[in-house]
Amino acid sequence: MFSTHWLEHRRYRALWADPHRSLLTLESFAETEEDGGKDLVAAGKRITDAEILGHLQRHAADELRHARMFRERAAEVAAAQGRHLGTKDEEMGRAYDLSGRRAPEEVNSHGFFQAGLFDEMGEVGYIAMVHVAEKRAAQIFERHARAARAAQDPQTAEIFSSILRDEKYHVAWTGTVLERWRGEGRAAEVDRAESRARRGRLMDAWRRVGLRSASGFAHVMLAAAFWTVLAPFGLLARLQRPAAAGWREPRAGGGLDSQY
Amino acid sequence: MRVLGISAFHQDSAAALVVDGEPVAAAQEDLFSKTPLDASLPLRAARACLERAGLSGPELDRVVFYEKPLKRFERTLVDSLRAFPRGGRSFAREVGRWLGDRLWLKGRLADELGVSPRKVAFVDHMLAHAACAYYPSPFAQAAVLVVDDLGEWATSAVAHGRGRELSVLRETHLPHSLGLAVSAFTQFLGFDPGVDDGLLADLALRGKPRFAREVAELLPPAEDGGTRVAGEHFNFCEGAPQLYGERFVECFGEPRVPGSPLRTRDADLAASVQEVVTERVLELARGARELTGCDDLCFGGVMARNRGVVTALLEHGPFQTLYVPPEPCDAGAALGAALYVHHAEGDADGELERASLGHGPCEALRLGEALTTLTDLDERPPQATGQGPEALLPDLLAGHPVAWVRGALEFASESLTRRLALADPAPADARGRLLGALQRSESFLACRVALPAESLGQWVELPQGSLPLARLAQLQLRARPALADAAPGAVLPDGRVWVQAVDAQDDPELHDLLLRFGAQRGLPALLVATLRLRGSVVPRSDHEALEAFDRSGLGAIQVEDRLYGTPVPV
Repeated sequence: MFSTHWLEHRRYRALWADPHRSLLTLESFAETEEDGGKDLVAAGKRITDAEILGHLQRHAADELRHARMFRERAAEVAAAQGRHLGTKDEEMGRAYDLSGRRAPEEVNSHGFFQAGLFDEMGEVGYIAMVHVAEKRAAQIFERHARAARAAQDPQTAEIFSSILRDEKYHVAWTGTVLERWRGEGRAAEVDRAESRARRGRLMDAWRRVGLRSASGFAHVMLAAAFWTVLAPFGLLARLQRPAAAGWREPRAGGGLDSQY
Repeated sequence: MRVLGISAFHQDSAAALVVDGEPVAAAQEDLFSKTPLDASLPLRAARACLERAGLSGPELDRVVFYEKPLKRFERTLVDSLRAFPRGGRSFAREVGRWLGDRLWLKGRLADELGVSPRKVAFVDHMLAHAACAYYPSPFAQAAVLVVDDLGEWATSAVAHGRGRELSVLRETHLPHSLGLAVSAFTQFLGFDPGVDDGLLADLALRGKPRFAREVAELLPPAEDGGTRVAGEHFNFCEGAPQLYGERFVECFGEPRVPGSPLRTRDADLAASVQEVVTERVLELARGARELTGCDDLCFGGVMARNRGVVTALLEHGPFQTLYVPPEPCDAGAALGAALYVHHAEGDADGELERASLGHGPCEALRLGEALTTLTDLDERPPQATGQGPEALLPDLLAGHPVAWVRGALEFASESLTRRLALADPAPADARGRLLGALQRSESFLACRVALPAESLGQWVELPQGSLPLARLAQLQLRARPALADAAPGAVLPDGRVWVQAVDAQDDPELHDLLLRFGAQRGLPALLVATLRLRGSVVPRSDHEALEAFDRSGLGAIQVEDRLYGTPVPV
């Protein structure tokens, strides 16, 4: 175990010593924190327990703040390299856009991309997943803080240390809620959810990236189709007379079994 | 025959279960998701309806969706092409949505509800609205007028109901939509289009219709009496972020920034829109009367939520009798779709069974009765138990707005009896205080005035046939001087009040509370609003009600027979 940590520390230290890789890592952390924040906001709309709601809202605000901190640091690192980072809008236009600019609840509502994990997992599964993920995040951020400091990047190290304090609170509140449920006779359910979260963490992360890419890819392909395949039809449609005003006969349709 | 109706993907998705022609359960999805006006496929609401009836999916004879998806998809495509080269972004977004989910609706409904795909049916959107308005009505034969924002292609329709038969005679098509035009004005005035259209009608009461001519030019009458919209001023392409265009802005100036103070122009524009739209609906009604020859009208669609329009139809319309369902919009169309399938496929020789809702709030309530489970809250002891709503009187008499929560939630756009915020209507600022307690910052919003049905005529002018509509709080009637003097806070700027007639048989508890309050104050009236905080949905359980109470500025809350809060000693 010790040797694994030592190797990891070496790897992280090399990462923070490399300006290009550190920039990519900061951007990646910003996106992860923002995704998490959006998920928590969506979950907050579903939860009815006032205590959990309060924690979720504070947690969501923390995650979104962390995303901003990472993004600002990334901008500073980029500026130091004489590079310009895209604005938030430009970033949203990338092919792996999470939601096609739709609000999280809207994405949810049409089932095209289910941003709210809470709906998929239920309250116990969701809080267990957050608990496991935050525990892991706290460990990772602690190592990154040490590595960044060792790589002579005290500003980044300070960001990680500051975020680490929040992560500890996140671990604590989710743990308290899980314990409360255990005390309410839901121990087996909580244990199952925690175990599933530990097993499924990597798989879920992979699946979300896949869904995100598919959603974005479809969006890009459809936009391309609009400007190429559909352009002639669009021009023809413009030549057509606009729809007539006033009354008209109902459009004949199929029977009850027909979708048309 | 067991039919489950579903409405989704526009606003206010809902499920409604009809067994042998009788609506037995209905619910809106937002009650479960806690997202106001949730448009997602209402699977939780559908399962709740089945649970209420003790049924499982495979036991259903039909699951019916309230529109024809392929017709709507066709319209989405044609809309996008007509807007070419604009609309690339909305095309990708909308078609992405369709490809991702909606085109496979039949399979999804079958999978989720456990029914055979052969049992999934689809009813035209206008027909679903018309059925929602006609089948629960007391008429054996009636004209049906639906004025909506949009369905597949149709935006409004005239139908004719005779016995079990219901058929659409004619309709108007996009872009000629009164509902969408109102939404465009709503958006221009800085509110949420579609969602806040009701605010526009309330704001209209504060203004003068000095832009009526300009608005009428944008919504001129069609030569045949149908709907016409000056398309170059609007952008009704599906998914378009802005419903009005540059020429619209040239007519009316810069749009109001959401959240900024309302100006005289805004109220005047709202008043102008209300005046013109009311006149256009009256014209549509005259056409419907001519076409069907009927004396009775059933009115549905989004415009049927506009109390000013409903009142004008009653007072100046060509029909003798008017019926408006308690939930005339998309949620109600889920029920309409189910009723239509029952009558289209049920026993054709049988007598027409009237779906029993809408003749009084309590009957309308029956649909939702078992959906709410009031749970015990051991951790929060009430201040008093075993008391009736009279426990709220001290607070009411002291001028504090209070809440009253009991039983199941209604299937209607407003809670008329089961989730109420109440206040003394006498103080001039009563309405503002009640709205403030509910975190509503729009000072122009109207509140209902609950009055005993038997003495309603003493307090307001009652046009013929108004009582059934007043029992469902669908009218704004002219206040008599006695009411205007005693409750200035309840009277709207045009001298009318939004009336809710409370019948002793329909709701003996609320009726009794009114009489008790009247015995102390001399006026048996209470200012009433639905217990719904800004940005929230109506509470479904006592837990949610107490949570809402904690966040509100209300003085006390009565949940069933338990009183919480700080009662004021008499």
